[in-house]
Amino acid sequence: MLSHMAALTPRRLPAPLRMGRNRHLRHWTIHRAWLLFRRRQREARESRLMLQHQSMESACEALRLTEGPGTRDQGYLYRVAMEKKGVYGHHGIPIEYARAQVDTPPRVPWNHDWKA
Amino acid sequence: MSRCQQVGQPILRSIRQQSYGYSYSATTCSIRYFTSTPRRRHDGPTLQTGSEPQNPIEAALLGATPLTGVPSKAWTPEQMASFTSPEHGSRRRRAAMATSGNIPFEQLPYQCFQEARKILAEDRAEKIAKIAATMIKIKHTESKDASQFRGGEHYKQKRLAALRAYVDELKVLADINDPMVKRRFEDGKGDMTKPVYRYLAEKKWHAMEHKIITQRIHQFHIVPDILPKFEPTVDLKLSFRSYPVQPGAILDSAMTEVPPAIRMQVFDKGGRLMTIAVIDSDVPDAESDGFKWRCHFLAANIPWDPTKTHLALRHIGVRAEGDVAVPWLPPYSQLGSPYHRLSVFVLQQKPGETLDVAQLKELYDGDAESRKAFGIKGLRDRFGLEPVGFNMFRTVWDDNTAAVMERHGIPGADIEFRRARVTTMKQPRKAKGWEAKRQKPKYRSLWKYSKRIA
Repeated sequence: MLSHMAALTPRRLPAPLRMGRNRHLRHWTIHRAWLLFRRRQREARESRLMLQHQSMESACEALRLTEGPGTRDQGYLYRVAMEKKGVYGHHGIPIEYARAQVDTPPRVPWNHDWKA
Repeated sequence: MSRCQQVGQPILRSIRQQSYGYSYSATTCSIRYFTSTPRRRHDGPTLQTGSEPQNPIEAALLGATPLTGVPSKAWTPEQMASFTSPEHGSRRRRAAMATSGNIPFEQLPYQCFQEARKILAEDRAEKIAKIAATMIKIKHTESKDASQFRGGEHYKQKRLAALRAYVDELKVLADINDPMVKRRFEDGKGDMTKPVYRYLAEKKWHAMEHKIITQRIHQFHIVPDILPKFEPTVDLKLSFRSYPVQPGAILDSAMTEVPPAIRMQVFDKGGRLMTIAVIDSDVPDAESDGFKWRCHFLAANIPWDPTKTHLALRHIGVRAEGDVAVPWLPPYSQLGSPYHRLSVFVLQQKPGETLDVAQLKELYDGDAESRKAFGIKGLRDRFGLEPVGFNMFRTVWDDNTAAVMERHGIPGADIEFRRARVTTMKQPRKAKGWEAKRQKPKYRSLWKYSKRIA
């Protein structure tokens, strides 16, 4: 009869750890500390990213509310900054314009008027 | 120098400390925990040119000389000698055992372990700082007037309760990573007044026993037969005649003749008063052709707190505090009736309220009819109790039931329950088949085959 976990699970399970009590307690302590350490790292990274994102957002907002240079109207700099020219390489196509791969061909097979 | 001595020496030197020799003490060890690398520079030449080991233990372990005359505080010479025998493991292990004395578990010089403890200690300090800050916040909130809150007094109390719950959570989190706490809990020596041990106990209960109890409630239809809604929050176990009983087991009536002892663990702090009720929910009632309830035991005002675990029901009112309203009636089930579910309920009383036992007695402790008037739902609603703990067993008619009933003066041992015969409303059917057809005189020649066959 197949009752053992190793026989029932598709992935090979490692053998259970066999340790003496003190050794297991030390192992457990180290494991808990490792989990705690990783949690701290993760939370620090998340908070840093969040701060960075917020400061970027506030910078963009400041840009949107500025006028100029010269006779340019409000938000000109923001619009220019948000352009994605050259971001996807020379004459590259932004990923937003890529067509999703589907099973059937489109109604219009080729758009001859399209310019990048 | 032989090959094994060459291999063994640097190991020994790294374990042994320069001047402490074989008699470590915990304090010296706490100065140098786990690593020998930085100190090695001050130890003088790393490779000793002389082939003679300087320490007698080291010499004995290397097999050069037998160990004799070693003065030691921690070990007797016999124990010391035993460490040099190979049955205690590798040479490295023996050296560690012989030289490390009685270092407490937390100071054991394992590098990774000590680094882990540092991280955990840091986290604990953080949690304790948070606890202190929250306590200050609680004090501040308490001192503020209720009118300063948007929702008045209700809002203030809600805020305070939330802060206190947060403090309890932090208290658990501060200690949850301590290996000694884990060890103490596993040994059953946890102090249940402390939140971390209560938390661990609750987690352990939820791991299996709570699941079993919930399954019993479900499969024996305790919900909705006895209570419309019920979720146990207290660990309750039964034992009859000091034998622990699995929830839902069918027990011999000789076993259940005496009241059980309960093992109960509450997981929230503080004292409270409990009511214990045992109810049989399958008493057959021939008049109504159905089933009724019967009270088998009822005791109220039993003080309980997390440190208490054990109570024998026969001690209530005698050796243990509490008032018995309905004394133990041995569970019985008459011949022919299906198994009876005997449910043991623990109900928590409102804080600071005691039940009037005289009233309980008047209500439920009279003749058989008043016992049948008992119900857990009615008890809950009438006295404002909250059902928290549950366990159950079953009883059927067995060889000892008649004797038990006779000993306790319970009538009805000679009654046998039978199902009422249900007669069919259909017309009787005509006999069919080859033989039935050939019973007529027409088939006289075949009667020898169609009559009196078999």
